[in-house]
Parts: sequence; structure tokens; C-alpha cells
Amino acid sequence: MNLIAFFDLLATVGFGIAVLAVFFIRRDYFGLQSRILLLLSLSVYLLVSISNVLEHADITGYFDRFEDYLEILFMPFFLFFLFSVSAKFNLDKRLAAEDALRSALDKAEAEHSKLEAILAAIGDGISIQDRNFKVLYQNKVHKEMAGDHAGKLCYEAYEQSSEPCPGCPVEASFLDSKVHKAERRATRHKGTLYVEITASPIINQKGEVYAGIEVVRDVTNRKRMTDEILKAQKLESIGLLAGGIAHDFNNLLAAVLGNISLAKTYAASDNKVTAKLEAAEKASLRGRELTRQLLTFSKGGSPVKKVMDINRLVRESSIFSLPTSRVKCVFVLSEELWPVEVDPSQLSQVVNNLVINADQAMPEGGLIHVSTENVLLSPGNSTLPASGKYVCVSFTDQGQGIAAGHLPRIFDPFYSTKAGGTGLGLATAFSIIKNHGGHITVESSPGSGAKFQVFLPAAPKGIDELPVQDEEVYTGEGRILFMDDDEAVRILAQDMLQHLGYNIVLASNGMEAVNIYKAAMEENNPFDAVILDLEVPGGMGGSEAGKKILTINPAAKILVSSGYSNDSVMANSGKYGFSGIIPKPYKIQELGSKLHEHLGNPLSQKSF
Amino acid sequence: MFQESELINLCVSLITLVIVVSAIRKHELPGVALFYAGFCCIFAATVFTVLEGVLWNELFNTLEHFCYALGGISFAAGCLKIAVKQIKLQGKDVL
Repeated sequence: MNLIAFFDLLATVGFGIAVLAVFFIRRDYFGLQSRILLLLSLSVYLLVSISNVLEHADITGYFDRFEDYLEILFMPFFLFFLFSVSAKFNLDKRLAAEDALRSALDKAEAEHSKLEAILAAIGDGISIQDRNFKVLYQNKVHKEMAGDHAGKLCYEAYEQSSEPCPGCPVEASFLDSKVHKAERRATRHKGTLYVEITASPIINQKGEVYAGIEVVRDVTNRKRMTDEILKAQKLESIGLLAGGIAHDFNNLLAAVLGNISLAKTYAASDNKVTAKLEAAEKASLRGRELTRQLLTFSKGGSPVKKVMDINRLVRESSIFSLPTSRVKCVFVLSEELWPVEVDPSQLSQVVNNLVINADQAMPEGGLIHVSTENVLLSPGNSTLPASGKYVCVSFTDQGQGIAAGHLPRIFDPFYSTKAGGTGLGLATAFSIIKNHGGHITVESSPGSGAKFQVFLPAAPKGIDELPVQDEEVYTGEGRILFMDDDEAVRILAQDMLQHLGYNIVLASNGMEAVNIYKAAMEENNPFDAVILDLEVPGGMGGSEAGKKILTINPAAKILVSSGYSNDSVMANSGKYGFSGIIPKPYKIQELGSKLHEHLGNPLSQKSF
Repeated sequence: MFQESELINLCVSLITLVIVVSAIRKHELPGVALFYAGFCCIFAATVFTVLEGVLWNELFNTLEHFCYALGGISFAAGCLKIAVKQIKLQGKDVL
């Protein structure tokens, strides 16, 4: 074998192996088209090589005639193979890039979803704006608060303004790259909102602020609560002031009313003087009622209850509430009304509030139907109080009525639909009726007026006492210890009690009263009754002094007197060991009557 | 003496060479370096085929057949390399 024959054999083996190996190359490596082209290319030279080998063996084959042309075919086949492989590789590369991109997008989408979930879970509105105030992003809460405004200018979208809002915290963040806060009042489709905005700059890698993020927190409820706390604090201060004034005013009235009633007894025979004194007394009594109402408002104290027929009180309070109004009351009062245990001054305030409310609902005038009736409630009606016997007082007006949306809140403190209304009238009425174990309801629809019904539990016992006959003066005999820090009241009490026939010893504070009482007991010259003022600024008050006197003599008859007629000691005097109460201011007739009632003095007599 | 088929083959080979060289320079196709080598051998054989008709007939004829042998070996090596690598990595998948 010569060298050329050896090379041809080697070429034949090489191309043969190459052709076989092509079958083992995976389809997806080059692609089917490339493999076929490669196979054709290699087959050309496999045939040429086989032909050469056969030529050396003196065997001429069929391919000898085409050998030269076969060789020409190799180049196009190989060239197409390269193109095909190149296209396949480029396609693979592009698909791989697309896969990578899709994977990156999926990852980014997942991150975005995660971030969106976190931002939604925060509960605050979050918005991102670029340097031109264009809204780039809003989370769900922000969209609910302000609407979807992505792509719009924030000041145009949120504030309907043509330029950035003054004091905008985002703008401030753009300027100094710091966090800024601001509180805003915003009007949205849901109503007025109070929001707290915290703005932070978003800084790129070059250190430039390219956007701002604002976190918006709805602080409407917090602000309302703060406002209500402030209102309540203000009201408490006013209440304290009013209470103090009412107390002092009661002491002054005590002197005025007492002296008038005393003067009336002195001038019994002079009709002209008596008439003037009676007029002054009536004015003082009106003043007394006013101070009592003021005290009820200021302290909301425990009701000083007594069992009574409330028809007269309802009628008088209703008329009293409408002195100059174009509105008139029409009364339908049950004659067989059950007695109820109420604080007259507090119930009077409830009537006043409901009648004034009805009056304000009818600015053009109209009628208020006021009725009282006995009702027997059976169990099962959840809107009414517990079953039992109740007295129902109804107030029905012909006003515009109350919108259904306002009905659930009309008894809430500070809730008012009237301009300048305090929102206290109905709230106070509700509170007073609740304190009496009763219930208040309202029925209304727009255009058909409103009907308020007050349910008060019927008293199990009879009416406490007959109305005091003002002109009756009970005189008596005995020793009375009188304690009051106000000198004018002490002097007046001395005059009145002496006029009634009692011997009186005065004390200016509790400690002095206790010492005097103790000394009298030691001298075996005890007092028949003690009258103690409840409030003594800077000294021992009536409550403590009463305890000490009861320690000395458990059978002591002690009456407690105060300008705070609604004080819990006054309301529950029996619990503190007192025999009774004398609310200030009082007339000589009331003082005489109280002493007569508690001393049971057989020598007492009526004097006209 | 020049033969017509040999000249045509040479021209086509030259065009193909330009494209192949361009592809080699761009490094477009990974894993086909031995195919390029095989192609170069075939191209050299084509040149020698033309030259053997002009001078040193015996020498160029020997070189021509040597280039065929070398080309065959290069293509065989290239195909085997890819096939073996794929078999190792992913298993066999015949046509």
C-alpha cells in the first residue's frame, strides 16, 4: 500500500466515523435541519474517499464519473450547515434571554405582589410622586381614600389646585431631602377627612432626589376624639364654674328669700308691702329654680327623688319653656296617672329640653301635643325598658322631622344637626331619664314631625307629701344648733328660728358645731335639732360634723342644708345618718315645716 | 492542466472560506472549532488539487490526499466530541 492509499483509507474511516457520530448528536443541539446538512456534507467526502480507496484497488465505481462534481457539493452543504447552526444558536440564545427575562419578570412580579401586600397591610395610604408631582404609585388604601389618580398631578387630582399646595410636605422633602410631616383637612367623596401626611424623599444612587413618598394616615377619629375630650374638659370646667357660682348664688338667695319670707311675716297686715314682698319672693323662687337647673347641668348629680304626680310639673315646665314662642302646647294629661319617683328639677329640665327641641323644629309655629298616660309594658319589646308599670310622657311636634340617618345618634353627647347647637340637650335628657331607671324613645320620619316618649317607672308607694302651703308657718319650741360658714345665712337663720319660737346657737364651721354640741351634752342641756351646712370651704363640713355628733349622740336629729341640692349626700341623706334635708335657699315657711316634721313638736301650731 | 470542475470547486471554496473566517472571527458558533479545522483541510485539498495539475504533481497529489485524511479525522473528532459530551450530560437520543 502506498502513502496516498493509506491517506484515502484514513479519510474514509474518519468521514465514516463522523457520519456515524452525527446520529448520536442530540436533535436539539444543532436542530434537525443542521444535522441533515452536516450529514450530507460529510457523506460527500465519505463517498469521494471510498471512491479513491476503490480506485487504488483497481476497482472503478459508479461515483468516479461524478467525483469532481460531488466535491463541489460539499461547500454549499457545509455553508448551509453553518447558517443553520448559526440560526439555531441565535434562536437558542434569544429563547434563553427570553426565559431569563421572563424569569426576572416573574420574580419582579412576585416581589411587587409581596410589596403590594405589605403596603396594603400597613393600613395607611401610600403614594409616590415624581419631582413634577405626578402620581407614580398609590396603594389600595390610598386609592380608597383619594381615588385612583395614577399618572395625574397630585395637587390637581387631590386638591383641584393648579399649583402645588402651600406647605406641601412632599415639596419640602424635595428641597432638603428630609422627612416632613403635616396635618391636613381633606374633602373626599366619603366626607371630610383629617389626615396626617409623612413625606420622605426617594434618593437615587447619585444622591439625587428623584421622587417622594407620602404616607397618609386617616386621623379623623383621633381628631374627633381629641375634640370631644377638649369639649368635655371645657364643659367640665364650665360645669365646675357654674356649680361654684350656683352654690354661692344659692347662699345669696338663701339670705334674700329668707329675709323676704321673714319680712312677709312682719308685714302681714300691710297688703301693699306684702304684695311687693310676694313679687320679690316669686322672682327669688325663679332664681332658685334656675340655680338648681344649673347645678343639674354642671354636676349631673344624683336625683333628689320624691314620689309625685308629674302632670302639674309637665304642664308648668312645658309652658315655662315657651314664654314668647309662636308654638303652643296642647295637653292631654291622664287624670288617673300613677305617681312616679322623680327629681322634680331634673324632670323639669327634661321637659324643657324636649319642648325647646320641638319648638326649634317648628320655626313657623305649630302645636306640640303633650300627653301623659299609664302604660303596662310586657316583656319582649327590646326597644322599650323592662316590663312593668310605667308612666309615659309624650311630646309630638309638627316639625320637619328627623332624617333616618340622624336618629341613632341624636342622644349622643355633642351630636347636633342645628347650627350652633351644643348637642347637650337631648344627651342630658337621656342621662337624666336613665338615672331615674326610665327610657326615652324617638319616632320620626322627614316631613312628619317627631315624637319623643319618656317612660318613667311607676312608684310602688303613694305620693310622699302634700304640696307645701306657702302661707303656713309652723312655730315650735326647742334648742337648735345652726352651723353655716356664711354670716348672712347665720344671721337670717337666727332671725327666722327666733321668729318661729326656737332658741338658736350659731356655729361657723363643723368643728365649732361639734364642740358646742359636745359641751351642751356634757352640761345636760342637749339640742333638739342640729342644722348643718354641707359645704364649708377650708373647714369641717356638715357631713363629717354630722358623723361626729352622731358618735356623741346617736339619737341626734340632724338636718343637712346645702346650695348643692343635687349632691349625693343630699340625695341619700338617710345613708349618712341625717334625719332630713333643707335645700338652700329656703323660706321661713319651709324651715318651720321641716323642723315641725322632724321634731314632731306638740307645741307647734299653724300661724297665718 | 486545469480542469473546469476543479476551478469551480476552488471558487465556491473561496466564497465559503470568507464566510467561515468571518464566523470564526465573530466566535458565533461554540463547539464547532474542529469542524472549521476539517473545512480548512478540505479547502487546502481543493487548492492542492488545482496545483497538482500545474507543477509537482506527485507532491501536491500526496498533500491533497493527506488533507482529505486530516479533514476526515477532524470531522470525526468534532462529531465524536459533541456526541460523547451530550451522551455524558443527557444520555443518548438517536435520530
